[in-house]
Amino acid sequence: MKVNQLLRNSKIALLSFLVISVSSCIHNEFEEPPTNVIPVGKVYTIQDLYAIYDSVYFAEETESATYKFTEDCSVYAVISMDDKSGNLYKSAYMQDGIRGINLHLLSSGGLYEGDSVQIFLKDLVLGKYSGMLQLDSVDTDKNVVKVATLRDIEPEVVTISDLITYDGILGRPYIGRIVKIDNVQFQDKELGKTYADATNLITENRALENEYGDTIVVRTSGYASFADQKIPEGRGSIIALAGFYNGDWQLLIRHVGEVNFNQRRFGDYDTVLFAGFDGIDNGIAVSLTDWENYQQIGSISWLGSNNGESATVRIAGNDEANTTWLITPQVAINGAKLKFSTRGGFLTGATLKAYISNDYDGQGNAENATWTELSANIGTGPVSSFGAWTESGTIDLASYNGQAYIAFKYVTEAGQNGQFYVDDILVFNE
Amino acid sequence: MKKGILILTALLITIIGFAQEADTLPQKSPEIPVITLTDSELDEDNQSQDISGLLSSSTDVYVNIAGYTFGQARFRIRGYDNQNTYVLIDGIYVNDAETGRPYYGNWGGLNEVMRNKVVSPGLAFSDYSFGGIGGVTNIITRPSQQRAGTSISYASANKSYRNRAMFSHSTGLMDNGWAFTLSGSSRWAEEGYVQGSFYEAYSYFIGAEKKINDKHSIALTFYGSPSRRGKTGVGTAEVYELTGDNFYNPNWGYQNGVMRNAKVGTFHQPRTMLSHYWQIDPTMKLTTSVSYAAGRAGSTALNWYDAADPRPDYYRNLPSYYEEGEFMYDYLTEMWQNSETFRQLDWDSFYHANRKNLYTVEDVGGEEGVDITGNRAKFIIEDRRYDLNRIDFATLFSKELNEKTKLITGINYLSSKTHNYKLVEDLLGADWWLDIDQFAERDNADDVYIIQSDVSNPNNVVYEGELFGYDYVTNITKSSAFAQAETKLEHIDLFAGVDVSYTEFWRTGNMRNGKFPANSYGNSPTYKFLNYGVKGGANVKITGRNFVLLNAAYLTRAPFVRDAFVSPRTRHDVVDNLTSEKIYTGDISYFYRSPYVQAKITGFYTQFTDGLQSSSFYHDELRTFVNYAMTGVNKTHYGAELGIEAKLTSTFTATFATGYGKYLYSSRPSVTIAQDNSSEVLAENRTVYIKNYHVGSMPEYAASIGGKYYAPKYWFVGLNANYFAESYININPEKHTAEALNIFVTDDPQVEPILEQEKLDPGYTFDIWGGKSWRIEDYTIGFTLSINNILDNTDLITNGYEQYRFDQNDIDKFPNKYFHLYGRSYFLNVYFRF
Repeated sequence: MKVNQLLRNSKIALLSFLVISVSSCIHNEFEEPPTNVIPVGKVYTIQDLYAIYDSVYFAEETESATYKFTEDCSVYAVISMDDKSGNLYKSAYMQDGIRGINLHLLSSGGLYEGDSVQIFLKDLVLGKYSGMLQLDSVDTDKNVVKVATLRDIEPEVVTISDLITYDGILGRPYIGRIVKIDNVQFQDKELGKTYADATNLITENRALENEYGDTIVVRTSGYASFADQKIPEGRGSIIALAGFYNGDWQLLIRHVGEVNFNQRRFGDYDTVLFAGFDGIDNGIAVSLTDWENYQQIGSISWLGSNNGESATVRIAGNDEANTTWLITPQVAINGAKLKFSTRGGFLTGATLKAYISNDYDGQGNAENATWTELSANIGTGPVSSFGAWTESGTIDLASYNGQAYIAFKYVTEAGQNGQFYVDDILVFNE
Repeated sequence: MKKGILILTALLITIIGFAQEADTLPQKSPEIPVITLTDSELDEDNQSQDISGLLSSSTDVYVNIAGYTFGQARFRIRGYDNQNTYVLIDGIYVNDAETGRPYYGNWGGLNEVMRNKVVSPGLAFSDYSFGGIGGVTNIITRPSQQRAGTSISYASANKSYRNRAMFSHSTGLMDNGWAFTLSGSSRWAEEGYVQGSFYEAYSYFIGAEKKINDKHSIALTFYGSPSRRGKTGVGTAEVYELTGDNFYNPNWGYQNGVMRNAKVGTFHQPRTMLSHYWQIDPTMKLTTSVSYAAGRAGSTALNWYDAADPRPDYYRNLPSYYEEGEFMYDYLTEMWQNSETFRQLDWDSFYHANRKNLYTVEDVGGEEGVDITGNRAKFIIEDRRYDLNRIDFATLFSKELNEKTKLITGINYLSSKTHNYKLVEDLLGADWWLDIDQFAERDNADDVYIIQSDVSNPNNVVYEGELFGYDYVTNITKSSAFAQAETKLEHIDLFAGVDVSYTEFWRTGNMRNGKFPANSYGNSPTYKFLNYGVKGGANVKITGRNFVLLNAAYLTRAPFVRDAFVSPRTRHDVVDNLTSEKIYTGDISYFYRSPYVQAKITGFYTQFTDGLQSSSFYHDELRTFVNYAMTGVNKTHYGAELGIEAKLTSTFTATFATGYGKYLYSSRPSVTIAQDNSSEVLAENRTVYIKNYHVGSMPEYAASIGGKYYAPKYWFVGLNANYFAESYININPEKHTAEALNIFVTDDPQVEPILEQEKLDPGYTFDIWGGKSWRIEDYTIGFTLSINNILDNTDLITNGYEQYRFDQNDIDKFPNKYFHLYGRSYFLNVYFRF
């Protein structure tokens, strides 16, 4: 290779490298767009939104009335329920101090329970959806600023009747809010069912009841992640969102974990002690194993009463001073409750009271022990006949945990008289 | 860019300067434009380009024409998937081990050094390999075999790229026994033919060879083609009509006023090869090569969490989701037609959403009490990677037993590991991404275990550049040996070959997925396949001008890993009844050759049995990737090919080529449909009634007639008229099950459209190409120009497919998607050699 050829080659090679190292200006790095700040404007409370809506509603007198925000304004609240579990779809609820409201979202997701948010209201529409106030077409990206997270709302404890009460000023104060209802259970007819029909994705209602027979439905979407779970059979508390749909109240569950029905159903119990006195000898002084039929004063005893159809125990006075005890065997109390029935008659001063003692030794001499009177309804009766059988009501014995005795003490002063029946003494655990 | 133009202008001036001194020395072989005619858009992760460039150097008259005129319409010779074509580089099999497909992009832009090829089409005997039924191409890059000299070229085009600059220099075998080759190129386009697409690719090749003595030579080569490109999309007739653009690309949008593509493919898998050439004696040769290839492959995509589907062409964002006359129908029509922001990605809105999505992750990394509060990403760009690490060994022995007979035998081994994972590429203004399986989350809202991508690192907060989602390696080893012999007798040439291979593959999970904790981490069972093949052929020389050729082969093929695993992103499960595919094929040709006419007519028949086809797509309602695996797929391909080249005058040659085949399913496969986010299968072994349906996605008929004029004064021009027909779209197997029709009575008018396989309209195109060269002393300069689809017909649908989603209750909800042939496109190459 000649020198000049080499030189030429190297020149060409240099040129070639330049050709190949052509750097095109193909975009690789992209500038971030400027931050788009969502303004605040006038600040409303949720109650203000209700008031704003009411003014439109009263003017137009129709449920289809709407109000569109046209100025910069915002409402601050905490998301109380999101659509993550699938029980809501494109929807969320939020609440501030005293009120709650539904948000209808343009797309699902993006808002989470506990998010403290500013909702920029401009161009949003306030309207009613099946009787419930709703902020419509909320765009999570355009209308919402998250201020803080994990601000969980303490649910307000209410009863079913509290919940459904119509308040003259606030209307329905609990609408759209998270509430906690204690001591409820699903009705018998619901047991064995799932929350909803997850197979066919159908929304279903399950009725709850409380001890007074008040009811309210739990409504669950077929798309909810827990739709295919069986409803719990027990009784207890539920935390849920109070919804209102075409005049009917309904509870919406956020998480199945907030349905805490781990107590026995109403009426279900474990018997610690029961005395129904079946087969007792009629007219004979009660003499049952471990029971005491103790005459502290006077000579009358508790007697068996058995007419072949019903068996019970009774005591009747003799116009003299008497203090006669009927004391149960020792019972172990651990949060147990007591119920019994009594019936009084021909009462001219005689009294019957129920007591409990933790220090009685079970051996006669009841007066040596400490007895606490129990608050029970005792049957009363007129002077010349019998009254009705009376339920004592459920008496909580939780304060007397440990070994205890329950006693029924009949007392008359001289010149007083009266009869009492006692039956169905039940110490039970719920 | 400006710099580039400047240099190129300088180069052009230099060339023109030389041109003025033009001399008219004869040149032996005019350049035929070897160009890449189409982009492969069908296969998302496939950087493979069509085969045309490769085949154009074939000596087979039909294959030669079909190679570069039919490729533009996605015509495939004999309807074969390119898995059936073996590509070797210096004897090393370079098809991807996972998919069996050759990825031409791995050496894209190295045209100069990859131009020496030995093509054995179809079942023809190859000196290098037993091969696949679609033939073998061996590319020879040995520096000593490269033409000595320097070459520089610049090309301008309006296809996937608009500019190409190439350079190569080879010393040839020098007196000191060394040979060196150096080559490089750049290809780029700020925007290719399709809006929003861009292209940026480079390449390099360094080769050195030392001839130690007359018997031994050693060559070491190193090459690679780093590339980045903005991908194009595919749409339904509705979006093409709404946008008035048959090349509508949903992948891009404006960010801060600058066009940005969400799907960017980035590849760079350099390969190093060391070869030893040993001429044992004049009749015996032993070539041994080892090669190591490693590098990145992958493509970015948008991912989103708890936000509306941001893809503009998501079916719920289209007017057709609503009834005509509804408010939304009119609104969306108006927006699609008139708002570019609406019909493209809205990057600014992603930033806006991400910057204010405050969120607290508790127990980060599973550590109690460790909380992170920040802006959780709703939208990110993720980089889905499948990085390669592969070692190959090949040894090839050839012996000429006598003047008529030669024996070729070889041993090959490959070990391929593909690392599949995702990285957070761009948080788009957010602080981090939470790595949980949002697809599992809805069904398991209160279960913090099941939603974890990796239970060993729960509630993982990931930042840019960090790995998340899935992380596994697919391992393949394959050992094979073949032997074949060819003998050329007076009236007949005969060859026969046999091939045996042993393949093992398994999956190694690096994450323990919360949904499949027992079945996702560590090594899966190893699946083993012993395969073999036999082939043979005869060339009966009736006279010196008339030949009859017969070939036949039978072979079995291990399933490809890409098809075998049901849901490799999440677990070890493979499809039921994994078995080798069996292929038998035969062809018969009559070949006529005279000084003026070459003509070849061929009939072929191929049967594929027990095939496996898998595909996966994102199902928006199930919020998961759904994986279809069809087993027991049999296909029959048969047809005829004709190629004629007639030298009508000393300067004018006429060509005609036509291929017509039927590529049909010939069994009722079973389909199993599984989900990434649940072990519950959506369908198990459902019978797919597709017997006698077309395999589809290519024209079954193509014809081209053309003429080439080679002027004595070193210029040439050619014209081709091409016709394509009998093209059927790809079918969705789910539509062809009894279950898909179970709500219809048999005479329901909806049944027919569900079952019908759409046949595309035929079409024709005209291509023109030409060139001229000059020789000035030791220099050659020249140019070639080709223009495809001169009439600028942009309505020609080359291919389509049925969407894999299907709704019984609204059979038009997920309409077919179509690809169109590019309109008029050109490729102008100016070169300079010395």
